[in-house]
Amino acid sequence: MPREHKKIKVNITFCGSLARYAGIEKTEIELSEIARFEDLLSEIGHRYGQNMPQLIWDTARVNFTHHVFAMKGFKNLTDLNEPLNNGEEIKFFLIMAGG
Amino acid sequence: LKKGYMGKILWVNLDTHEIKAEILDEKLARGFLGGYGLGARILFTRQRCGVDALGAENTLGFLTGPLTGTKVPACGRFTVVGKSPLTGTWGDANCGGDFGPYLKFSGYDAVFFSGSSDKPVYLLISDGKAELKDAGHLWGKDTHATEDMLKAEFGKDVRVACIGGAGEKLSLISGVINSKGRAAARSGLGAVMGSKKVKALAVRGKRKVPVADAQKLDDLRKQSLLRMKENPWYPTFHNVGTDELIPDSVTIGRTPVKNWAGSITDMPDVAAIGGKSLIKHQTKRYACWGCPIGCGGSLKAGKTHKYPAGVHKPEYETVGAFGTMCLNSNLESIIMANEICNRHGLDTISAGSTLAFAIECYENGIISKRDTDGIELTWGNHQAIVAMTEKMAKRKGFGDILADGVRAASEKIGKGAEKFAVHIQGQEPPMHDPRAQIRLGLGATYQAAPTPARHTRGSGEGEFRHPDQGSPPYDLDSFQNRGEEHKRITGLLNVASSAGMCLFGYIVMPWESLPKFISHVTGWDITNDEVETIGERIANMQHAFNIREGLNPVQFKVPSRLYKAKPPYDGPIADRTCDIELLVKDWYKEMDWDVKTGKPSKRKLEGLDLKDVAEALYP
Repeated sequence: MPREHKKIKVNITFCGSLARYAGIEKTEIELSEIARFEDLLSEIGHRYGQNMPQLIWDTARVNFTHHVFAMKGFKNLTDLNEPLNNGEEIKFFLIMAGG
Repeated sequence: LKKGYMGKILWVNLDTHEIKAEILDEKLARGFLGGYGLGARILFTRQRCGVDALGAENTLGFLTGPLTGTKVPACGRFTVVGKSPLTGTWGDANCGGDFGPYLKFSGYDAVFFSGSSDKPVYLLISDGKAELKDAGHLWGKDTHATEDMLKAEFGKDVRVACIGGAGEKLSLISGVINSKGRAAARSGLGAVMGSKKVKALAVRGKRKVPVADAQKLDDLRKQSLLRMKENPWYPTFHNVGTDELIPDSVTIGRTPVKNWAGSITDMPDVAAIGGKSLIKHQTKRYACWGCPIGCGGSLKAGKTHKYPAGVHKPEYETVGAFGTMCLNSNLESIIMANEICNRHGLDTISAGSTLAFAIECYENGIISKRDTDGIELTWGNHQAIVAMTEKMAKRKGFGDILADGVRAASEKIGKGAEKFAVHIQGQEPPMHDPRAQIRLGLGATYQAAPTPARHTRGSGEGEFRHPDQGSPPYDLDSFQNRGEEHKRITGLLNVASSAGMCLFGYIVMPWESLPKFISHVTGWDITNDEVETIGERIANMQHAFNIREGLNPVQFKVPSRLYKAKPPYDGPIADRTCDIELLVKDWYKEMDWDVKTGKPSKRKLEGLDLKDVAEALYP
């Protein structure tokens, strides 16, 4: 019988305009303990992708477009295979101009 | 002349007080559009190199574009041009508000001032008729009073662009103000206006901007407005304003902190000056002429700092300069500093950055209370920040030392102050760290674009790479192979700005709208290829201005804090460097500009129909 993986929870923040489209600024997402960044994006796509404009969310790639990037702590999160750990905080940002 | 233009340029000789109108040549208009494109072409042709930027020989221009004052969304812009007294390079500053459209409604596409008046004057243009008038009663007044007095005299339909006391006193970081708070701030062109003793331009008129195909323009406008509102950038600009970006931008390391030597760890309370806090002060939205975005706002009166109700909402750049750069989380003090700059005509980016520099000098014992008129210039001391901003604007006491920006201040202070002086060729960089993600190309722009230390010249990445255009053709984390895109994007921005379009409008609008709007307004059949050629021609024209001045942007120094210094903090960009040398090299290669001398090739200039420019650079 396959081993059932424990669950982890990661804290997500959608910054700026992303929160408008997600309909929420902060949330907690439950994933498998072996989850990678790719799995988080899949869950985000499932929950919020349909509300995001295509300039932000790439349905085919199941990922944000190049206008959005993620940070874990002070580190840019780009590797889809990056393992995630319980309690980690991941923030998503939309790149924009000042004036 | 094709449509979109009023067809006339006004020349004002301040030595003789002679005013004459010239017909705008169609070939010139199509080749450079307007704004800083047309301005660069005209100044290169009619002004010798080597003039004193604050002398009578420097020509000061106010230019609109073909889209200015039309129904094209977000096209209320005008541009001020001249040789910059701050940098010694080509200088320009772009501005919203409502002056630009009204300049066209008064009958002119542009106004140029040559010479220098021996007494204060202002230019009144009333429905095509222009006259220089005595400004003795206006000299010494702030920008609000100047606008109010001119409106009281000529009616509420008059629109005013003017300098405050900072420009009158030749502050090298002074700008031109209209609508009491929209600023053509960069390049120190307020001082050029002050040196000529031109206090203001007052314009009025009811002429319509002719449009080639009103039906197509209306149709495209409707489509574009719908698309603009769907753009993810739109709600930030419209609902809150650019200050919404501050907290996130500090978090990712893009907004500089503590005079470019700090990070989010120094500014844990940054939310106090972010958009969510600021919007609580807003009483109504402010939009520039014809703009559906409306990123501005009018605010309630201050409580701790005594500014009146109705002052302008500070922009992202201003909140960065007076806020994070100074470790200042007191929002009212930032609003107050912004208001002081608006009233006296100071560039908020430069003024706030100069204060941050002064604070760092103070904190490191290079200056003390004896130097600062008793003011404790410490990080985050909001009362001191406001008090010193006022002194800087009025050139009083220590403010006189700071009033010409960080380069001049560091030279006057001495004692090692230059190590804290963050500037490029004299101009303070805006609030975008080129080490931050998707801002890497800005390092090259800061150093080697025709006006150094500017973010509105863009780069080949970030928000200026239009969302519709897909992923960038290079690795986002690499410095390699960015030259081609850098050239293309900066060229597009040259076209948008020179046409009279706000860059926020450009960002949220479908990018293919720009050539179509120009075509529908002018009647020219402008293709995407021609847009890119015009953008490249404008870049070469401005660049040639600098080369002819004997400048070599390849050798302009970028402070190490902006790209390679190991900062004394932990943060998102702490381990990053920006390979500016490579970025400039790749970009210049694509431009066909020599990577050592900066000189554009003769072949390139001739190919862009700039034969006379080639002859000037290759005598």
